[in-house]
Order: sequence, then structure tokens, then C-alpha cells
Amino acid sequence: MTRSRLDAPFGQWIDRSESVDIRFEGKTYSGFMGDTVASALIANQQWLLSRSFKYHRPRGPLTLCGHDANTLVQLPEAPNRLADELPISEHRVINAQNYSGSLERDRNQLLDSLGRFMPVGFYYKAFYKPFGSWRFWERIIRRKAGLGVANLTVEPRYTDKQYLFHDIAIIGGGPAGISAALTAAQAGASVLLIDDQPHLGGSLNYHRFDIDAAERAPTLNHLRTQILDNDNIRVLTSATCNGWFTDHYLPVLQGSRMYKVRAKACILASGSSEQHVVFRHNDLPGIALCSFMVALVLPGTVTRRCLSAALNGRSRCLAERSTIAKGWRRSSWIPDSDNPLKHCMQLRGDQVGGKCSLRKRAMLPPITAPIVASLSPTSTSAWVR
Amino acid sequence: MKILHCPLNGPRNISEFVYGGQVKPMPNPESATDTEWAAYVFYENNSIGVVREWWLHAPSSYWFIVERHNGSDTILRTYDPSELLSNPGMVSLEDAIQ
Repeated sequence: MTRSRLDAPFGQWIDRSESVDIRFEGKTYSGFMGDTVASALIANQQWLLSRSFKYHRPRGPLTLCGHDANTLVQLPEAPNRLADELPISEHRVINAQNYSGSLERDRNQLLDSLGRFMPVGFYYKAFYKPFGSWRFWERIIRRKAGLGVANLTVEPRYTDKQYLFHDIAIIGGGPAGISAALTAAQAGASVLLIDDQPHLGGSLNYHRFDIDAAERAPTLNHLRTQILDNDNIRVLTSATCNGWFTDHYLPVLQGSRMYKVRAKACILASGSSEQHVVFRHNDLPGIALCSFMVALVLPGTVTRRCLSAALNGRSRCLAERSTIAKGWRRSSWIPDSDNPLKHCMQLRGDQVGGKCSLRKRAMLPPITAPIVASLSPTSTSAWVR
Repeated sequence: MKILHCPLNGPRNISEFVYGGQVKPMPNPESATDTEWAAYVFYENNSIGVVREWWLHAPSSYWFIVERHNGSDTILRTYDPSELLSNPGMVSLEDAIQ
């Protein structure tokens, strides 16, 4: 397992001295304290995490920061949890969802090849006639299509709410959000800084900004110390703000508590997300966004033999490539071609040939390296109102 | 959630308030015909612009007047009804503030 980890300067979020074992699908995998379930499994070359809702297509991590539904896994107590947000320190037994037989050889994969005959709304059109037949079909369909299994014996947990009143609420604890918070707090405003990640700093945690990444760590430390020293700023980490309602009313979810925040002004410094490049089979495991690679560096999971094929990704992708490519065997820059998947897989060293082998190969978990395919956001934006 | 500035209680959540309809002159219930009375009870002007409305702060049972732009839902002014009632001209001229 350690072979697939980058060495010391990388992996700032894991504690290499403390090994943690998790069980996924009955097999034991070893990760480190600080890993998420997804990053620990990838470090063990287990890319396949789940099966899709309807066609049972293989699913693996896409963004690795909780922005996609590809990593939904089953916990003993709850279904449909995101593997890229579950720390392995707290979740030791994990199962995949929505397959019949085994995850690798799902018997319901057949549905994928029948996909063209099952358009959106197919079930509702086909199985409702004659009247009453849905009651027969429903049991079968619910077994074939669906996600996790709810645990009906689980005890409801205690949840509560709290009201907060601040002058300014800032969503996003990246460099923009932190700077805004400091400026406002120095002017005397009471500030609430909300970030959905456990570590304050946003892109300062992973983006290198310059080739040597010399500025990053000192800047982050400097800003973080200032934030923590400032009495006017209250920081909520691992907290999700899931709405922005009239007159700056913000529901913020943190653990089992909901904060109902009323602010006089609101600053959105949430950054922007990448878009996936559109091509056939771009949903398969091992085809991921640039931010995925960046997120893998955090727990130091990127394999040394990793190879990146970046599609159309612009400045950001180039930057990442130039900085972490050292550890990668080969990096390539692929223009928007007529068949990007084939292009990528050839670069990855896969045997591409024959009529359907492209799809079959793509279905297999990537043993050597992920394909990175994303469109960079045009610019980082912050809105102030 | 929207905030409404109650003249008596200050800024409160809109969920504490009850809408009481547009301010309009009431015909004399003794002498009004059924048509006139129905028009008073059920008909609203519904044009886009600044409207003058009755609002109730339910917890304190306090009725007051809100001037609101119903296109942007911006609240322009809230005040005690005494200001309105001491100046009967304001009630009868529906379009005075438009």
C-alpha cells in the first residue's frame, strides 16, 4: 500500500505512523489516520465503489470533495453516504450499494446494454398498464433499481438548532473568504466564517499557486493565526450553508446541529467547480476531474506510476500538472479530439482495439492510473451583497 | 426569511405577521349595496407599484400600515395607523402614493 503513496512533503492530512484498517465489501483495506474512505480505497487500487441507480454502471470517485454522487456507499447505520467525506477513523465497515451478486460482477449489468430501450420515465410508462399491474412490477423494479438500504432499527439521533446573529456572514473559508473576514473584523464587524471542509484555508490547502509552492504554507499559517486570534470572528468548519434566503437568513448545518443565521450582509466566497468534459463513457471509474488529482495529493494517495491525460483543462490543470507531475510516470496534454476516451486509454497503456473492447476496458477499474478530464472554471468568483 | 420592521416591536421575522389586505375606503355598511360591499371585501387593485397594506403583528395583536412595492417586495415604510386615520384624505385617494 505504501508504494502507492507519495512521499513526505505530500500527504499533509494523514498520519503515517497510525495505520487504520477498514472493511469494504468484506475485504480488509489498510489506510492511515486522516484518510477518507475513498482515498484509502484508492490507495489500495480499489476504484470501484458502487453501482449506478438504474443501469448498474460502475461508479468511482469523480471529484473527491463531496461534489458528486458517484461515491455513495452503505454504512451499517445509514445508506447513501459519500465515501469521499467519511473519515476512516470513524467508519470502519463500509459496503457498496445497488448490486446483485458481487460488486465486480453485478448480475444486473445487463440493464446497461438495454439502456437504449429504457428512456427516462420508462418504468412509469411501461409498467402502469393494465391497471393494477404496477403492484406486481414495483417489487421487482425496486430490487433492480435503487440505492442503499435503510436501517429500520437505528435509533434517531438528537438534533438541535441554534440562532446566530452577525454583521457579516462569509461562505467559504478560502483565501478570499479569510481576507474578507479579517478586513471586516478589523473594521469592527462581528463576522461568521463558514466552511464545509474540516480544515480552514480552501485552495490554500492544496493549490500551489506558484511552481515551488513557497508562498502557500506561510500565507495559510499567517491567515489562520490571524483568524483564530481575532475575537470578532467566529469560525464554523465542517459546516454546510445550504441556502441564502431573503434578508440574509442562512441555514448552516454542522454535525447534528442547525444554525439559523441572520446576518446584515453576506459574502459568497465559495470558489467555483470544474465541469466534466463531455464524451462517451466519461462516467466510468478512473475518469476524474483535475480537482480529483489535487484532492488525492492531500492524503498523499497519488500513485507514483500515475499518468494524467488532461482534456481541455486550462490554466488550473496546467498548473497542477507542472507541479505534481514529478511523481507521475508520464503526463500528457490532449487536445479536444474526436474520441478522447480512446486517446486517453492509449496513453494509459491500455490495449485499445476491436469493436467493443474500448468500452469493456473502460468498464474495468483503472489498475494503473486515472484519466483526468475536466474543464477549468473560467475564474474564481466571489459575490458580495 | 424576510424581516419586517414593526413600528411597535422593531424588526421581526415575517412569520410573526399576518397580512390584512390593502388599505381602501370602507363604504358605509348601512347604506352600501351588496355589489359595493362585495367589491370592497373581495376586489383588489392588483396593479404593480407601491401599495399601502394592513399588517398585524400577531403575538402583540398590533395592526399597522406597510408601504410596499409589490413588484420587488421592497418594504418602503411602516407606521402606526393613527397617521393614516388622522388624515382621511390618504385613505380615500387610493392612487395617491403610486
